This record gives sequence, C-alpha cells and structure tokens, in this order.
Amino acid sequence: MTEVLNIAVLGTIWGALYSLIAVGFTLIFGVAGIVNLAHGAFYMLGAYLSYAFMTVLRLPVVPAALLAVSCTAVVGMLIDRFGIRPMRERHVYVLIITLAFALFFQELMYALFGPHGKAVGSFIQGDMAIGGVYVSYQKVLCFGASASLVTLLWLFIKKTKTGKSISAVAQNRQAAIYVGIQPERVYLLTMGISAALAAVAGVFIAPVLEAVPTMWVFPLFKAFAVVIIGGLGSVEGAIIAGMLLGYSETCVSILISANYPDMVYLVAIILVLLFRPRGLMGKRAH
Amino acid sequence: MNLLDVRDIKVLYGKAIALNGLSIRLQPGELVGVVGPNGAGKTTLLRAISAVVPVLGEIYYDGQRIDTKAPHEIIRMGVVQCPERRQLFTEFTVAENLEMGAFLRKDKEGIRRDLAYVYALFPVLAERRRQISGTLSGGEQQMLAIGRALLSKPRLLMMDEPSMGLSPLVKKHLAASILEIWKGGITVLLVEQDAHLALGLTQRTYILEHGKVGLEGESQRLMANEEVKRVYFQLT
Ligand SMILES: Nc1ncnc2c1ncn2[C@@H]1O[C@H](COP(=O)(O)OP(=O)(O)O)[C@@H](O)[C@H]1O
Ligand SMILES: [Mg+2]
Repeated sequence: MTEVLNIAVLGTIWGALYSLIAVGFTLIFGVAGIVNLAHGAFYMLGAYLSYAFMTVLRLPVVPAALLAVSCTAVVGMLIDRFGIRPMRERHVYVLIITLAFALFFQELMYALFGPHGKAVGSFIQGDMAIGGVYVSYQKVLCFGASASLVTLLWLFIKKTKTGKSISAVAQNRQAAIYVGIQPERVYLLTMGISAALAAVAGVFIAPVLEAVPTMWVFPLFKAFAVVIIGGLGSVEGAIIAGMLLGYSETCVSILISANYPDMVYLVAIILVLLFRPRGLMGKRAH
Repeated sequence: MNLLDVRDIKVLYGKAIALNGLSIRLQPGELVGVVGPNGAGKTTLLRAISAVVPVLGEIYYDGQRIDTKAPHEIIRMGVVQCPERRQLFTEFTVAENLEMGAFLRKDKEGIRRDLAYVYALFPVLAERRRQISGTLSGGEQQMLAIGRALLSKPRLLMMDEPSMGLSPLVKKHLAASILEIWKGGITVLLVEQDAHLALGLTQRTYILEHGKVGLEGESQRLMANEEVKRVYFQLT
C-alpha cells in the first residue's frame, strides 16, 4: 500500500518535471523542425545561473531564480538568431551547432565552477507528508511549478493569438506567411519559451540533484524519450508521455531496483518505435 | 493610376528561369484573369507579388514599390493571396482559420463585420465553424481559403487556381462567389488553369507562356481567338 502511494506521489513529481523539460523540446521541433541538442544545456544554465546569482551576487532565491530563467531565455534566443537562423534549412548543421553549444556550456561551467557538484540552496526547507509519504517541500514546489507552467503553456498555445501563430507555423509555414505571420519571429519566441521552461526545471531541481557540468545530458535523454513516446512535435503527447515515464520509472525503482529506472525509457522507446513509430499522439511525419 | 504594375520581372529558381521579363497591369476595380499551361509561371507570378520569392525587376502597388518589402507588409497594404492548393491550417477549426486570416489586424469591429460577411457569403462555413478544417470537402476547403484571405482585408485579392479539383457544379458556385466578392469592391486577379472559367468570368486576361505574357486582351475576344481556341478549348 505504501508502495502504491510512494509511486503515485513520486511518480507525479518526476512525471511533471519530465513533461516540463520535454514540452519545450517538442515545441521547437514541431514548430521549426529543430532537434535542439542544447536543450539540456538550458536546464543546466538554469541550475548554475541560479546558484551563481545566489552565491556570487547574493540575491535572494526568488529573484535569483527569475533572473536565471530570463537569462537562459535570452541565451536561447541568441543561439536561434545567430547560431541557427543562418543555416536553418540544413538539419545536420543544426544538430552539430546545437551540440557544440551544449559542449561549450559544459566546458564553461567546468571552467567557472569546477568539476564537482554545487549544492544549490532550496527555495524552502523541510518535508511534508502526503498520505504517509514524506517529500521535501522543494519537490512539492518543483511539481507545482512544472504543472502550472505546462498548463500555462498549453493555454497560451490554444487560446492566445500569439500562441496560435506558433501552432499555425507548425502546421503550415507557407500558409502562415500568407496570413502575415513572420516565421522567424515565431522561431525566436518559441526558442525563448523552450529555453525558459528547461531553465525552470533546472532551477527547481538543482537543490535536489545539485549542479554539475555534465547535468545537461540527463534531461536531453529524457526529453528524447518523452517526445519519441509522446509523438514528435506534440505538446499533449509530451505531457502524457512525461507523466507515464515518471510513474513507470518510480515503479521500477521502488518495486524492482533503484539501478534500473534508466532502463525504463530505453525499453519504452524501443516498444514505441516497434509498435507505434509516430508515438502516442503523433500526427504527421516530418 | 494602376493599382498593380508588374514591370518586366524575372524570377529564378536556382538556375531555372520561371519568369522571364513578365509585365502585367491592373486598374482599380478590375477582375483580371491569368491563364496558361502547367509550369507557365502563374504561381510564381503571385509568389513574386507576395514577395515570397526573390524578384528581379520592379513591382508597384498603388504607386509604391513593393518588391522590396516583406510579405507581411504587402498584406498590410491590402495585397492578399489565396494560395494554390488552399494551404489551410488543417488542424485548426474553420473559425480558427478565419481568425488567422485577421492576424495582422487590430480593428475588432472591422474583423467582426468581415467575419459576418464571409459567413453570409459561404453559409456552410458558419454551420461548420467548429469543425476541423482538414475534414472539410474540397469545395468547402476552397471557400474557407477564400474566406481566410477576405479576413486579411484585401483591396487586391489574388486567387491561385481556386477551381482545382472541384466538380463542375461546385465550380459554378465558386465562380458566382468570386463575382460577388468582386462586386463588393475588391479588385481580383484570378489565376486559373480552367481557361473556360477564367475567360468566362473576367474582363481581361493574360495568357502566360514560358514565363512571359504570350497574349493579352479582353476575355471575350480571346475566347473567340482561333489560336486560343485551338490551344485551350479543343484539348479540354
Ligand atoms: N520551388 C521551385 N523550385 C524550382 N523550380 C520551380 C519551383 N516552383 C516552380 N518551379 C518551376 O518554375 C516554373 C513555373 O512554375 P509555376 O509558377 O508553378 O507554374 P504554374 O503555376 O503556371 O503551373 C516551372 O517550370 C516549375 O517547374
Ligand atoms: Mg500553379
């Protein structure tokens, strides 16, 4: 019984975080056709920048977090504008340049902060009991932030004019141009949003996992898994698959062994590719 | 003064010449046709006017040079294209497609009026406003594509083969709608492969061949022209 509760609570927390990481990754793919290998680096920048703003600039935690997220969004937009835009049509180039940025930020963090993990201060101390399961307030907060941001993003895309223009470009870029939408602006905005969401995940999870220069790899793998399972380019698919991944990983690590959760997403990827290659919610082939 | 003045333009796709010294002119309030065989450059001409391909030469609209402007600026000036193959946002509903047509506009009142106009012109769109546009029939999709263009508030509406893939009956309805739009005060440039439809509907027509104007004149006269008859009407 406690196991079920444990899985429910922890699975929800991790699932929401995976969704938050993956929605931005799937969004920029769906809209601009970019497989952004620097996505995990945005998560890392969120973690390190909030750490730096708290320890070096001695900012309180909330302003440090907000500033870290804003800076990462700007970095994402700069990468889009100056790194990707000149060669947007060439997919291999985009893969390489985004990987180059990821490695660059890894080395930069290494040079600035060293190879060892940095303990990042929590937003809030202490634990709470949810139906007998103890979780830190930090994780609860992380869940709250993930769930509300994913919901906000979804509402933004479905309900606002600017959000719909993102969806319009994803559906038919040529048609979007004929109604006066400027795709380059949409790409820039989408990259900013995508980077900001990854940074939020990094900011909230850093106190739980600490910041290290190789931390960009884990969210990138998770994001890949989630979009393959959920369907490339589908925001709904990313949300559903993120949650599923959270539950199944927690399930495996609690019921079988804490060493195996990483097997879950690999197995899930293989199953999806074998039996439903377009993913749970995937619509079109790109 | 000319509303549209395309002066001796060239368009290249790589090394292939699609338009090679093409000129056309439209007066305000005209309904003008452009016909020609597949590959003659009709679509490229509209792309050039909408500034989605690089153009050599000059294009003037309402006295202003527009070939140096961006696509959204040209739409804002009132030059709107209803593109070939409809190009709908197929995952959006009918209403959302129309809403995107008004993307550049801020005049809520005007948008509401134009929406009511489109729904009155094509009542089936009003009935299906919540339907996903990808599930509409071909004729309905074409109506929606035209409706979306009308919501961009055109002064010059360019339509690229609106009759493509439609049955004769649906084509007739479409032709009537185009006439009604034109009578509402919008200048229309109608690109068609269906020469019957275009020559029957328009006042003047340009016949394109190999990226330039082969023949031009009053549509009535062109219809009687032996050469045109031979090329366009005996084969179809
Ligand atoms: N995107 C493109 N790339 C290369 N060539 C093109 C492209 N679009 C059109 N063309 C060529 O340009 C010429 C004119 O095409 P188009 O304007 O589409 O003609 P039409 O609309 O009259 O059928 C054709 O020879 C066509 O093959
Ligand atoms: Mg064509």
